Amino acid sequence: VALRAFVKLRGGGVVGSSNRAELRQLAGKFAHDVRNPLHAIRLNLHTLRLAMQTGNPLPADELELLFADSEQEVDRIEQQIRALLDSASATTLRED
Amino acid sequence: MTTQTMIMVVEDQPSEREALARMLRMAQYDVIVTSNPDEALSHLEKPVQLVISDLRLGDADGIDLLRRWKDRRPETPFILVTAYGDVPTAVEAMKLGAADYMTKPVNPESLLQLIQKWLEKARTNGHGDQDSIGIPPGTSLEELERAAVERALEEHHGNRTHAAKTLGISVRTLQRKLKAWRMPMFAVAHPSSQQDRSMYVQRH
Repeated sequence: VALRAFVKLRGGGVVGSSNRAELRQLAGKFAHDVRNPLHAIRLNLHTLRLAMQTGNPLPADELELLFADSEQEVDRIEQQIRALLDSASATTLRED
Repeated sequence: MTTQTMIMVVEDQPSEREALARMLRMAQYDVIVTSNPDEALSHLEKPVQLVISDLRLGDADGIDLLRRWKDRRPETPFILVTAYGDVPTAVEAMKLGAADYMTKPVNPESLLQLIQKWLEKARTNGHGDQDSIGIPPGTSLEELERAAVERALEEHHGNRTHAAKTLGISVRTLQRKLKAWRMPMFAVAHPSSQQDRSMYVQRH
């Protein structure tokens, strides 16, 4: 229902008041699931910047972990976006 | 920067926990990493000088940890971070003695500045948390919430979009609150530094 409301909203349709709470909940969950991995990526980038600025490079194994973690976080974001788009498509099809 | 300053990170997500710990170590802090309140509380006897905790810790929550930690170590500055960012929770955290409250993804520079600020306060007066919020007894949550909104607007020179971002709420929500409180278009009496993005109410 929340996704349908989301799709309607995106298409310019009217979202009923009964759906707003669910829409808020959906948006909040999506924001949470995307902000978390963004947080880790941002911190990792700053670690690299500090390493560069201080001339104090990370050990190779630590650097490898940093890259692996960051790639994993990018994948987490991609999964969230894909799930949202898939759900929206399915909802649109049902409405059609 | 002091190399022996000990900071505890409380975060249930391993990649986020490691990312924060890694950055803090690179900034020359000693770091203890924990993943839940019980594990964090097991370090009460260690010379932890600042705590950074996620608000949501799996089945547990950072507010509960904040309460329990402050019962035993009220002097420790405690920074909460969250991917949600709702004002009522921030207000509750502040009322319980949190030094600050940040929304993910945090600005690392701002976080490091905040850490330095709180460590400095703790060093100079021995009670870093006591300068943070002067909350008179009987203050309501709504009054605190309103004060947090006023401060955010002040910081951003009345710009509602930026203030809403700092508060972790939508512009529409902010506008609804301003309307409910019958607050006029915000006039800036004392523009403050843009650098300090902390959103809570400091003692005037």
